[in-house]
Amino acid sequence: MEKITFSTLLTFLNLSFLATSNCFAQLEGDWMLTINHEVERLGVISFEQTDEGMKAFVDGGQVDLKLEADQIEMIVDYRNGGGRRLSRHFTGTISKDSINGTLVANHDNSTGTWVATKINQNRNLQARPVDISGIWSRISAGMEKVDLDYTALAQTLVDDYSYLDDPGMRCISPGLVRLSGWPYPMEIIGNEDQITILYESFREVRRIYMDGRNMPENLPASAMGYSKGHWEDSTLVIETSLLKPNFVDQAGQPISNQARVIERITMSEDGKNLRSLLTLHDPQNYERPVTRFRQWRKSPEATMMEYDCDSYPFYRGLQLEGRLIEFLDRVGQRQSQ
Amino acid sequence: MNKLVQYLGVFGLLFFTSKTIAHHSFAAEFSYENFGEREGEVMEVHFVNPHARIFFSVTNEDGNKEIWSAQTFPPQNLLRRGWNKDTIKAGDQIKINGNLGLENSRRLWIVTITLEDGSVIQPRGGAAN
Repeated sequence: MEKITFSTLLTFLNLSFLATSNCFAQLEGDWMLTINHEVERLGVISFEQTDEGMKAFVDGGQVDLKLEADQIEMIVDYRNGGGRRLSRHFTGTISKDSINGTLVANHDNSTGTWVATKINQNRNLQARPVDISGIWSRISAGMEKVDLDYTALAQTLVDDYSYLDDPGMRCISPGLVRLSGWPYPMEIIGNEDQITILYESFREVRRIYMDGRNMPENLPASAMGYSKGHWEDSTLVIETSLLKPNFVDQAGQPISNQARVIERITMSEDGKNLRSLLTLHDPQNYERPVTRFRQWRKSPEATMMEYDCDSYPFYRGLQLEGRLIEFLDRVGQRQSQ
Repeated sequence: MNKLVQYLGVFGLLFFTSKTIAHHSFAAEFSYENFGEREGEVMEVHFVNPHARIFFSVTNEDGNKEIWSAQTFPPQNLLRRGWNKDTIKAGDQIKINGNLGLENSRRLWIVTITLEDGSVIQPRGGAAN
């Protein structure tokens, strides 16, 4: 009984708090978003007070937002694995430290739940490394937000994108950001000075230097870039640059050669799950950083397979459809890859 | 036409109740709503990434041969479903049904393949979302 009274009191206090703060000031900042819609997916919601009122961004892209008293509504676009553009309609109730609610996918009325909690910015910088070695299978690639906060340049590139420009069709690596969400396993091999990640997809290899070195200045850019890492508490923090131009995902959101990527990788306490919050800083293309949450589960039983890739069927298909010239003429869109 | 409607119903249901969705570029190349079936002789089989492909020769309503391209998941998924590179070979007679390509292109995204001996392969499965 005491518990109920206390919780009722808390709810009352929260509501009073909301009612008296006319601009939802407590919303401002970054929230960790967890949705359960077929699988668990993670994201970041950022609320920002502007002259035009409160705005919300999910993973770096604006969403439709409606606030009334302690009720919130959002429409968040995403793409499915096949590249189809879809959206989820979120409704929820705001309390002081969390937002809870349900969601409906607009294309098939499938439902799910969601919760958001304020991201704690306090970081323990003392290194407390954990052993993340082993084979990991992907659970989800995050919210897969399509529309991002593009610069004028990026908007032009997105509008002009065709799936014919997708490097993966020609067996060329889709690069760090996109590959990190690819649906095949990765194997992590670690020691004190270097963590190596072997990706089944595109046979990619990443070396993450843990020895405190500086970024080299004259190394050519590559699909996975040059990475150095350190531990903050038991979070592996990786900084990557020297990336070749590529795309965030199959909707063709561009990544320039000036991009810098920060990944914060944490393992669950039972050692069974791994998650990475990837943040893409690329001011040439995006007005705000783009985020992507990836999740994996430990799969010691899995076997890493060869990524046997051949671009011939892609070209042969285009030739049969009379589209080979169209493809060849798009060389300008591909030459930066 | 009746047959088409039938497939729309049956395979539409199969498709949308599946939790696994197609691989990249699906939406740019294939219809989510329109399904079809084509029968013919296998010309080329490519058991590779990024998508496994079968090119096969189909005799159309006018009696002319046309080449169709059928795509599906890459080998990592197919091997985990018991389909290996020798399951379908050039010269085999097959019947493929699946999502039709956009803009009347001669493409199918494979839902099922019926082999000469009547056995049916369903490539869907695995974590290709």
